[in-house]
Amino acid sequence: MGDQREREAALAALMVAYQDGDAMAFETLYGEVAGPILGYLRSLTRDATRAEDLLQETFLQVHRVRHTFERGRPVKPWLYAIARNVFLMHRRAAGRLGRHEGLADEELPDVPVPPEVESLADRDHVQKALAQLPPERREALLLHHVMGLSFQEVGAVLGVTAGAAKVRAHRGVVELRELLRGKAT
Amino acid sequence: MQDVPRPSDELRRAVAADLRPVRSLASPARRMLVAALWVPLAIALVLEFLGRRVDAPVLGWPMIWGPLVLEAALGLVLVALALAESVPARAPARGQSFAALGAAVLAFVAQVLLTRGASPGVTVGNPLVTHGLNCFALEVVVGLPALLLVALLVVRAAPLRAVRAGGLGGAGVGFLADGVYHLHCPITDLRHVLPWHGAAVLLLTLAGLAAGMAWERNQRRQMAERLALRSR
Repeated sequence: MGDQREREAALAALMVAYQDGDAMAFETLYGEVAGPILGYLRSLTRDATRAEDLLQETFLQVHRVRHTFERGRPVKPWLYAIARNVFLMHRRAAGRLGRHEGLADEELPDVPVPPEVESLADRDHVQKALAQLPPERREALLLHHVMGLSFQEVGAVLGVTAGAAKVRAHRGVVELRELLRGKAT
Repeated sequence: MQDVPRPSDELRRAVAADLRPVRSLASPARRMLVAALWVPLAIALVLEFLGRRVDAPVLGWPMIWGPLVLEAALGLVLVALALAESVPARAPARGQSFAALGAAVLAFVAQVLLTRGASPGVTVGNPLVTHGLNCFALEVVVGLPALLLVALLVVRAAPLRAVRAGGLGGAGVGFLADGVYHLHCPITDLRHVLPWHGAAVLLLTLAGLAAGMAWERNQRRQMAERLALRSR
């Protein structure tokens, strides 16, 4: 908990330095958060190459709208909300062009796995079960259990209340466990 | 996990090209106060150029100013929600937005009924037609500068769900304009107020929605072009 707070304070300090025009702060911020954001984008797109493109796009947006980060507020929900919007815009644009991005199982990229269910099956099975969850539950589950956001922060990213985020994440975990038990039997 | 790609050249160039210090945006509630400044100005202009409603002595000041205060307050709440919607990770939950919209609609209907109860107003030949278009157009004109102001405030941030932000902002401005216009229009017949004044609120809402859609479409197109360029 203390670690998380310290990490959040460090991110906030980087963000403030970046807003003040420090290029190194941008590089450091990128180094700190690009990995988790890429994992999140992979879980949304289920396409490793596309997720990398969207990661660059996310940071372009971050740069463009860096003034919208309010000092004193947490950095991570702000970043994830931007990443999520980049994904949604991309999905809508792809939908309009008639491109569908559903992938075959063997193409599933390496997406983060919640520690709660890691022991129930091997990583591959967990990832495939994750892919079967309804997107809104998968997202809430990943943001809370893997990315470490509080339910309040998950709600802020998804534009729902903290209570709704908690329910989605909880149902996601229950459903994931059921899927994995089903596979095991 | 695979390796995290380094920042692309395009990203590095964009950052290097614009590293001027930026000031954090004020909170949505504080930015809403900018829109609130439009209200006294609009009141002054409506009273100066259109005049106070002729049934004011019958209505009394609580029924003249009360509906304005109520509708303006709820309109500003909607504007604040639109401004919150335009900041990443500050978006209100859908339930909050719908509750605010519902409250504003109820306030509109309540003020129409209460005003009708307090004053028969000016009688016109066919309330469904006479002066209808005139009131509709004037109310929209009263709201347009506020709509522009709110649109600027929204775009100055980063509306992730611009359609929703536009709709909320447009509706907020619609109720603000209706509250202000209440100071002028002396027709209280429901067959005039509900369709024509209601249509003005609706049109301003739709204008906000349309602006949001256009903004979102443009953002999407720009992003699709960048992604296409990168994948070449």
